[in-house]
Amino acid sequence: MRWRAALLNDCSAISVYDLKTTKTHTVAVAYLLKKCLSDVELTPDTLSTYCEAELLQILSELDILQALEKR
Amino acid sequence: VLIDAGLYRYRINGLSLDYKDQVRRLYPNSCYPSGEWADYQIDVTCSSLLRRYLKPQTAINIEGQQPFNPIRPDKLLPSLEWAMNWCVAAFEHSRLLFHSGVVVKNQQAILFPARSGSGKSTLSTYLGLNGWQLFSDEMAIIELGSTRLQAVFRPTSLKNESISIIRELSPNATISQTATATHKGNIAHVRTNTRAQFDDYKPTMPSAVVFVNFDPNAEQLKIIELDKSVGMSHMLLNQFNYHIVGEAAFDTLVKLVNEVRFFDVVYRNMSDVDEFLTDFVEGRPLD
Repeated sequence: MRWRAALLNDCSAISVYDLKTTKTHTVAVAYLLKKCLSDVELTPDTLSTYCEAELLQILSELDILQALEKR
Repeated sequence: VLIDAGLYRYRINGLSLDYKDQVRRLYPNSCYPSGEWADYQIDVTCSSLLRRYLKPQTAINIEGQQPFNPIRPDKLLPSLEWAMNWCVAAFEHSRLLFHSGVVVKNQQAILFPARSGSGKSTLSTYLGLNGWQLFSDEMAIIELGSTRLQAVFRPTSLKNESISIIRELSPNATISQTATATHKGNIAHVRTNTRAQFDDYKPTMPSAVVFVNFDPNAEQLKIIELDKSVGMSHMLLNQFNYHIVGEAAFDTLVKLVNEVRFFDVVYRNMSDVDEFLTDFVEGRPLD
């Protein structure tokens, strides 16, 4: 597994760690919710119930991890 | 001489009698014969045979490496302190390190992450001389997993006008001779605590991370609370070994970020920052 992710407890962002490059990226929750609007109902409250694997799955489904790979 | 700085012990070879005296003054009750066990070895030597007689220069070798350019002998004390910082930054990867001042009151640690020249050492020194436990003016040393902050028994380093400011505010403080015209300007070191006080310091959980900005024109203290995402990003700008420690560093930093509040503070008077932080650690409502 290349990625680690954690939702910061003020729900401002998901912090994403790339084990391959050792870079840490910040994905703003506001950005995530905007991207999600057409797909699923997502709020900071529901996000905070997700485990790390579920956070990574969302980031992957929204092509965010793929974009981070290229940075 | 061997310096016991608490977490780390340094063997320093090649000091003149005068410098040994200065070191003993900055590290009271913490210097031992150099034969004892040490974490790091620093050798002070003449940079070349010619330089022994012509415009003398001193070289500092750390564990067989020479990371700094040779210096004039009268600039040795700051260079020794930088060498001691370098040892930790280069070799300590069992803890997470940030470029940051750390002070403690009421069993709560406050971090001041910042680069050199931001005023964090001046503020840390001021607080250390005014009722706070000064864990470090230079480096936050964080236990992996627990996020507790560790203290080191080191003097603070003041630059340029900060020296006279602290001398004026705390005339009884132990301040070293000033080394002039180093690459960072004039430098003096300040002892803010005794060895007995330091020995009472306990590893402490962090409660706030404060990004301090000195502004001589600020009319009053300005405090802005920051999102954790912004705070974490700013902290990463001041990391020493995050990229080396790897996954454990990420876990520890996320835990720390989730435990603390982040503030951006613009100040003119250090006493205002003292008052704000004291209110914070004592749980009083913040204005």
